[in-house]
Amino acid sequence: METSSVGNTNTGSIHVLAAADLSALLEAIVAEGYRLVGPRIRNGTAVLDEISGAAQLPRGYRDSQRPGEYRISANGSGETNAGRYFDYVVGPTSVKRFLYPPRRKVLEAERSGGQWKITEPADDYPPTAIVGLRSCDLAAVRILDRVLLNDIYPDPVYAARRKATLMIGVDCAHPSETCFCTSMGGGPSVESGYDLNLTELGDGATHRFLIAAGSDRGEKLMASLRLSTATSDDLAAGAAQRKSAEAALAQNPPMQDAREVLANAWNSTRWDSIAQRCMACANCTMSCPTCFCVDIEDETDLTGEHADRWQTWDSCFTMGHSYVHGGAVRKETTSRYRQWMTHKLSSWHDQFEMSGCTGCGRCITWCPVGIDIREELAAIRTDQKTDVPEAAQ
Amino acid sequence: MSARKKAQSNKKPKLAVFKFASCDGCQLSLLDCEDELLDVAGAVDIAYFPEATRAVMKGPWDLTLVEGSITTPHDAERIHQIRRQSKMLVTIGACATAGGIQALRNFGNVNAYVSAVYAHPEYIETLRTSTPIADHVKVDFELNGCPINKYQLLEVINATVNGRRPNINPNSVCAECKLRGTSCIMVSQGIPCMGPVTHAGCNAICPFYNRGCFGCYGPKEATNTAAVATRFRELGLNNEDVMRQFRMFTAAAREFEDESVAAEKFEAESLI
Repeated sequence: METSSVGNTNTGSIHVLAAADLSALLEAIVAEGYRLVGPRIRNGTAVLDEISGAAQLPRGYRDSQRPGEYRISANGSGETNAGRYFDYVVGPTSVKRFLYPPRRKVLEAERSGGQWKITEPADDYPPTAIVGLRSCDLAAVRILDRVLLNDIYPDPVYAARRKATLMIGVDCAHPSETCFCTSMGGGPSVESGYDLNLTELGDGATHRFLIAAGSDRGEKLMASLRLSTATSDDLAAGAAQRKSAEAALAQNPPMQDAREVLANAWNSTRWDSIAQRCMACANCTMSCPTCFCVDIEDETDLTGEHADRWQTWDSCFTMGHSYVHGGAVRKETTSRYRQWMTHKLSSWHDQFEMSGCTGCGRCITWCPVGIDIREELAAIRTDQKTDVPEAAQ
Repeated sequence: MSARKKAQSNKKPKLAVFKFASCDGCQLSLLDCEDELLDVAGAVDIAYFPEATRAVMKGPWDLTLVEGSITTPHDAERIHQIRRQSKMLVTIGACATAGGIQALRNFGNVNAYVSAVYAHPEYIETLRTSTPIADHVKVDFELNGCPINKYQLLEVINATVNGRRPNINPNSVCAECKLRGTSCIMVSQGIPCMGPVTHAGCNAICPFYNRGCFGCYGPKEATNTAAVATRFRELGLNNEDVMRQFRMFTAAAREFEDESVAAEKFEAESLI
């Protein structure tokens, strides 16, 4: 297995893959020894999960997403997209689930003769190709890289999984109402971080993919496929699709000032209004592709001679997250939501020199009560403008 | 002497299991631990557990598990006797921690029920309410669930024997859905679900099978029932439906009781 070229932005030359040859691409990936992961329909949602091939992709499906609401159906839009494979956007699962698993045993300890013997269990992650990653998913990987591959405390399991993962990107043709990637500096089209990227064009007789490699691994796979050179018509069709996707995203409110607005919003009255609606249920953080907080739990067996240490996704919405000796620091939902949103959009810059948000919209769609981070930012900004500036207390 | 020191001194901690008003399901969870039962029996002396053995060892007990709620004057006395004999008292299940399904009586007239159900109501001596054990005596740890999760019960016994805090997460059922990879059914199908306000522990079994959470584990930490009730109304539930969502197995848990009473009040006001 070759190592991944992390964050490669080389787009290579753009070719055309016949729609019928998508299967050939996936077969070539499997032949290279990868487990295949991609979107598939489960319980009325497009989730990322193991797939056997192109036949399991949600072909002809379109989704509609609003705050607190997700629906997906085949040909539900009334448009003719029966043959298209990737006409929906991101679902509840993200790439985080694969690179940074929900629960993982980090060590085992065995006591004998008064001595503890500690071992690290091997990670059982097979080489994995994830098909259908969107621009925001790959942006999330860049953010997770910054957090988990830092110089001081790199996460060795994340690093190994990252290297063992082949990323196949797909450009978004139909952003949902909750998407706001362009407000976060991304876009509906994949720009970097992929091994291969696909742009799905047309349907029926005109159905085809633009394909580009972003790494040596991608180049190698492309070399094994039947491809034709992209014509100027193909490239124009790609550009037109991108333009229409960008137009759909243009309705989003500006968010470029999020860092400054939130850095000065600790006493905004809006936090109390949010806390009345927020259930602190942790859906936003668990759905977020970049929220990386974990809890560490030690378990013993009944004899006390064997112990396991587990790492489990945690959330800043739990009381335990801010627990220090004597109690939780952030007892009220007001302070917990403020912590989450301020970290994500503002203090993340101070900590990691980038925003923690990709604009994927999962925290909006998957919030059971539909709290919309875009709206809240706008309200907090308005709140500041109308407030008489307070002296520092 | 702590349970741990006791274990180290080769004198096994004494375990007692008591039943109050309940269906026995929670204490049966201990017997359901088929693979682990011998390990449990090896780690503790089962001092009092009529469901499992006729052998009885007198108190004091190191770990006492209490199932069931207080519904009779006799039981209201008995729980004090048990508390006096128990070093650590853990309540198990929705009845013991929240009054159970029988706490539905708290919202009605128990005398009317007694008259309707029993041929000779004069033989029945019962309290007006069904109340959790913690309303009567100090409880050291509460394990929620209807029924409890046997692995969580093992964890509580295990932690007690080894002198550590049990790893029982008071977070939402939603967190468990997310960990196991179940897509939210309220968001994707509009099914009313108590998950966002309910205590974790069941591994989010109902949403996995496309059913809304019933709230068996009672309120999660710092719960916001009003927010989910608002969402239920947006999904088309009327006040009576909302009241019923909160008035199930943990109807008398304070936060759920407040919300079901509020829904009744809204309904009454809407009829004026």
